[in-house]
Amino acid sequence: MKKIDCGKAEELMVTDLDEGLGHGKRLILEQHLSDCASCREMRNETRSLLSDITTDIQDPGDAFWQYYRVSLDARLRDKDISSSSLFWGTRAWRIGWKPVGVFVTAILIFVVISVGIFDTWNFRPYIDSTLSAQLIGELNQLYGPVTDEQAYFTVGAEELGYPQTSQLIADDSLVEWFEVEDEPNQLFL
Amino acid sequence: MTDADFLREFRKGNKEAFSGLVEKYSKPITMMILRMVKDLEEARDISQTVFLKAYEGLPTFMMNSSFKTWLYRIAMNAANDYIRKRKPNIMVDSMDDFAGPATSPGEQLDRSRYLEQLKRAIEELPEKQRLTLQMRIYDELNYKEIAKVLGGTAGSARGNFFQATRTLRLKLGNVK
Repeated sequence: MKKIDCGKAEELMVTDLDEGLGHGKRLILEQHLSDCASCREMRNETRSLLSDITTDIQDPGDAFWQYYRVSLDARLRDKDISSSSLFWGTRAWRIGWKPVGVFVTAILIFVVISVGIFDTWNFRPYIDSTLSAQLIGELNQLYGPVTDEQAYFTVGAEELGYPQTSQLIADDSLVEWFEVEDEPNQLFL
Repeated sequence: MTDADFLREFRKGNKEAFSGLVEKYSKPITMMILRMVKDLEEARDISQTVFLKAYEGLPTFMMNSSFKTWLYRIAMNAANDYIRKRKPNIMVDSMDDFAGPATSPGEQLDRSRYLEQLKRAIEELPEKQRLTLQMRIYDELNYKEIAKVLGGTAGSARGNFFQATRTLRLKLGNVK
């Protein structure tokens, strides 16, 4: 049979007292113990020690555990109430903030990319020049040109059969009409 | 019912299932904390906080891991947090906490003295050895579970237990 030293015997005896040994190892240990008085003494001490450690602190008693359960139940109820009354404490929020965050981030990225694309296309505010020219042409016919800036909007007006602003401004009667109107204390008939 | 059964019920919305887990683990968890913090009121408070944390964390708890070791780990961290924060004057509690067999006054005194020495010797063990010893003996956790709670392997936990018993035996060999 395999012989072991006292160190290995100590390991085996602690394991034996703690978890138990298989048949083969137990035989080896017993063989060693039968020849070694100091290890037999060691086993008795270890057995006694483990038995003494098993003497645990005293149980606090039934009253303690009853109060424990009652107060824990109260704390659990408080937690349930506080978490269901406040959206920020709910599980829905704790779990839901991630998809919301992803969605918001996606929107932001879309906006940033869109602005970037429009910028590279030299984006300008959309103006329907045809309609603008038509409107200004009609206004010009009724009231005459208001500002020189209208020249920009009259692009294409000619194609629609409206006179250009420059021509309207050049019209002497209209210029006089403006001049007359701007004069103070002028009587009109 | 097993832990897994309680957890499945809880996930279905049956909150009463949590009571089953409290019923099963409140005592060992509180006693483990009590051994560490040495104050009954504090132990109760910390233990309840552990169950509140577990209650909060259960919806995200992975079903394939062990609820028991998860709960012990929460308890261990909570007790360690408390010990770190508290004043360092609560070290040794009353000898009355140890229950002993009824013997003559002289023998009782000797035994009390011996148990006090044993208790001090356990307190003086390195933390991992002490916790391994206590979890193994008082909580009857196996070495795999102890390793999950304290970190390391089952082999290192077994080694810690062996070292702890050797240290105690050598310290107390001449006391008894």
